[in-house]
Amino acid sequence: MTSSVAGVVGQGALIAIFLVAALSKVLTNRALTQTISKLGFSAIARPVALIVIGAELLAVTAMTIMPSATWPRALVALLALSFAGAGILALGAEEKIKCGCFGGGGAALGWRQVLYLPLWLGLAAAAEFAPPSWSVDEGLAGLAALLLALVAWKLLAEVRLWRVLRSDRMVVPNPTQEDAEVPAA
Amino acid sequence: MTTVLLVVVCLLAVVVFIQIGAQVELFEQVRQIRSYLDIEDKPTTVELGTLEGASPSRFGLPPVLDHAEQAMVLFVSDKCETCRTLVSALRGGAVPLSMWVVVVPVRGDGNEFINEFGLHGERVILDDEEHIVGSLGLDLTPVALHIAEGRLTRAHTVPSVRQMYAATPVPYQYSLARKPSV
Repeated sequence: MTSSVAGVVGQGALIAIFLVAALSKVLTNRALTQTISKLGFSAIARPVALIVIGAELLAVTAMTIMPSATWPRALVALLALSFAGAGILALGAEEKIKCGCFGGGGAALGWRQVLYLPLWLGLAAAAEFAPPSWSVDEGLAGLAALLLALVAWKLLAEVRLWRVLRSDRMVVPNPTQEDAEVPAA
Repeated sequence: MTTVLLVVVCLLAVVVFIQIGAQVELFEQVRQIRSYLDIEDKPTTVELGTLEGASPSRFGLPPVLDHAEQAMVLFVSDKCETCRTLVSALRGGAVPLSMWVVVVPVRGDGNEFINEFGLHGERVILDDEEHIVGSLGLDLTPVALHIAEGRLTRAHTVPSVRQMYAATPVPYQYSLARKPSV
């Protein structure tokens, strides 16, 4: 693997991961607010939640359209450090705190965020040492493809749930087969 | 131009993702509510065993069912609450096409039950002395017994009005102006 490929893979992975995380948090932003409150920042939980989501979206957009810029990767590193810090704070909490890192799910905040820190920093470092050089259009095309894949994934989840609910729905169909009537004796 | 188009695609994809995500959350909540309220509505299969493929008239059911292309016989008793709920929906003899109702008088006079719900009609049978259910070996109600090509095919419990209509071979539509004739 050449260093430039490593950079593309590193930055691409960061874009994909932070995009999924940011969009999931948009859907369940109240869960993130609760997580921040439980970490002891209840007074500023709501603005902090919005800042986290905004920062993730900003990092994704910037890494997509400005692939060689350093500051988006620095932003990712800063976010990763704050997540690890939140994990350490959660370890000291009396009760388990739900992560809400990727929206729903019951995973607890803790060691996982600390252990993920080297991975995020490694990916950012790989991209920093060999920055990708795609054009704005190429970056946006990749982002659009990724977003459409996420839409398809969400749509599949929706269809699965819809089928379950539909099979449990009031059924009063139309009279379409009158010829099948059994005449009374 | 391409850049603008790609930006528009990205923004639209984000909006659609959030929209679908919100719907998924809503569906999850509906499922949780149904589960919490214990209103999951699934019929349970009743094994017919050796009765499968037999003629309905063998068990005291009307001989016309031996020639029925598609039919369903609903067994209700005057004892179970679910039966009363089902029969309430059939009040006044609004029995769907191809559906027969067998009233099993467990608690006494079945005619009282029939009169209470106005279940008068040619496709409503009073199983006096439990002759039919006794022949079938059926000891639970409400149960739907399906008949295809004049033969017993399958049976299942009927936990709700919804499942009763879903089990009806010939679907019909509610109408305030015209109830289906018996």
